[in-house]
Amino acid sequence: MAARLAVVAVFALLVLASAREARAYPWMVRHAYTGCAMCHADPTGGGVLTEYGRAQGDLLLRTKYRKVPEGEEGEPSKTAGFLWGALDTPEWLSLGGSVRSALMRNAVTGVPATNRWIHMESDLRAFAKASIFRAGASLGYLHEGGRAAQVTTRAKDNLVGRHYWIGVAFKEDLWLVRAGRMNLPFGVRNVEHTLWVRSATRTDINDGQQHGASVSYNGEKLRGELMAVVGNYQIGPDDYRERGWAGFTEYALGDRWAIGASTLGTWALRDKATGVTTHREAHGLMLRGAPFEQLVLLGEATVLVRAPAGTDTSYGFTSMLQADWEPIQGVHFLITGETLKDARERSKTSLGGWLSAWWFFLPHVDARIDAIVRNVPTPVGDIRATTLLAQLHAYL
Amino acid sequence: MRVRVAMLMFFGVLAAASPAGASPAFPDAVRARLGLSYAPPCAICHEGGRGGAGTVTTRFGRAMMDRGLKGGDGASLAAALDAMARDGVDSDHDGASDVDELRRGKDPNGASGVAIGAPPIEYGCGGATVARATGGGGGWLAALLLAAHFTRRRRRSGTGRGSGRARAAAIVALGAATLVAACNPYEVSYVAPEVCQSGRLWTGGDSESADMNPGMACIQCHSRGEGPTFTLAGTLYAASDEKDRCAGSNAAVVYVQGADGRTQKLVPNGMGNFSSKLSVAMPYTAWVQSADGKVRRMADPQSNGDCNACHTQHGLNGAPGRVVLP
Repeated sequence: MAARLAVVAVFALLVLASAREARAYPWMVRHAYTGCAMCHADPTGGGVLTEYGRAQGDLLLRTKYRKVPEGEEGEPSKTAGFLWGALDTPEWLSLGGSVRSALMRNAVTGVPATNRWIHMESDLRAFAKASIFRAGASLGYLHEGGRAAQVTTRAKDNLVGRHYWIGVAFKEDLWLVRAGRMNLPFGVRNVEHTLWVRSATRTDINDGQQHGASVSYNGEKLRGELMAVVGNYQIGPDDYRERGWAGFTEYALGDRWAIGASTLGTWALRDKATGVTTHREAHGLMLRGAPFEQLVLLGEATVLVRAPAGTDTSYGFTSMLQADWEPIQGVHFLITGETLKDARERSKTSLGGWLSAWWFFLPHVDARIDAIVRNVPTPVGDIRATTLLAQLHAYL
Repeated sequence: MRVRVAMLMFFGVLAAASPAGASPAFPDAVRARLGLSYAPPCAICHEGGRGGAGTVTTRFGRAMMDRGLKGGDGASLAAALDAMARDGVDSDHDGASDVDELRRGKDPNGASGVAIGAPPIEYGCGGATVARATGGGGGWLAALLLAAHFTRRRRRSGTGRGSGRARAAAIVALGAATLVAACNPYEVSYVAPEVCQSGRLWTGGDSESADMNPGMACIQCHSRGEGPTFTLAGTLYAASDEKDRCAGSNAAVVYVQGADGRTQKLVPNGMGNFSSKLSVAMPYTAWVQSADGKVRRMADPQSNGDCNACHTQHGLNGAPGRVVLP
């Protein structure tokens, strides 16, 4: 039994370490952007950039190798546009995309180290608006992984549609009511979607999206979204679809601090991990803040509740704290700590740590290296997974 | 997501490889004691199917232990099952006793009516191997027609407010059509072994699909003027007495040799359906051949290409039930 749990833990760590695509920068709070709607078409963050977002991306993300002439500090370069400015889009249409690949070396206690090349994403995204109507969609290709976002049905080499939705905006986009397949509004929208705060709550932006309808509010100080989840209709049979709710609210404290709370509750006839009828909930708090412009702190702490049919309710906990230091524009050093106590009987607390370096070295192009160590206690001893991940990413 | 799928697969493999851990004979013992047609999965006692000592965590499993069940002790299992039946234990409080639910192929720990055993997860819209959505083609066609319509309207109306409305309507229509096209309801349901021994039932009615209505007389229905005209068609099954519309098997290939000596190879799809539009000289002979070379031959030459007309659940005209694997 103990040996079996150990093997399962090893396997889980191996898979956990194979990070997939990601695309949201909650540390932009350092530039006094406590909300997301200014720069992203999706008001809760991630995905297609607005024209303003593209300009800010060009001005604030990448390293500047020469001094910008006086008077031109606020002017984005010609490469800020879609495809480095090669294609102009009409005002009502925003296009975007993302291509990301990685080399990964993974070593787990008792398992030979592996080296892999992972193509994480190659997505095209579009956002259109006309009058009060809004619509967004993405379509991409994946050689492997991202299965819950598959549109086609092959075991490998699939088209993936991570999100597609239509909506109506009110009061100059203060409110947005929409329906479709969307990121679950919960917690910090991290780029590191394999963090336990994302995987344990199933709220990652890789393929954790669900179908449903939501209403979001994007005020200057207060923002939030509440979504009625009707399940992921890109998996079947229906038994596995989770239904319930997900939502978050966040309040800006000044220009560079925001605190928030999230809630999620779903019920599925069969849980994807266990095959058992399960009601699960997650309720958490989050924090984003910049004590000074070079340093951003992101934190999240969530209580996990799990009530499988036929067994007693069990409780767990997951948390994350990340410090992002940007000493030179475009160069980031990150340190991240995380914990997970799964909502299962007799589970013990797992610990994880990340050291990362990230460089936005060209317009629309960045490279990142992560060293990740995770420790999972099992009855036969601790399982330790060490991962080195080198990513190259371009957004179109 | 990959983690959860991997864990599910891994637990499934573990459960399959070593049922119930310390009590590997228990599923079969439960089947025999209750007269079931299937061996229940380890998950009825061990949540998630992870067996081994100290892992009996489900209410059903605990109720069994309360009635004297001991790991590896077959006699205690039989006694506990008898006690469960006598006491009418209803672990999930759905009004049906655990033993009754097991006999009906239902999960004693699950929500009311949920079938026992977890079916595999299917990924993707519009064409999953066994749970395929249909109507996607129609949805996309509708989307294209709507796009063309609104584009023309926009051109006619020129610029200004009218074109804005048309564009907005086009966005909404395209979005809605895309959603409908991408994710229609699935047309195959997973069912209890008592309903279909294969565990899969076609629930799509007469909607057009190569998966449709397995086990039913294809040519007879298609001769009513709908659907393609086949010269040969039928369904290959694993069980000889499978009911109509239950999914078949594609674990072998059907060969048909006409009276002129020409042979056709008919490959069943995921629902077991196979067909041909090529002419065949009557009478023909037929056989089923599996990948490992095993062969099952039809006893006599036939002159009716509608295989399921005779190969019904219990067989007609001398047929011994379904067309089955060797």
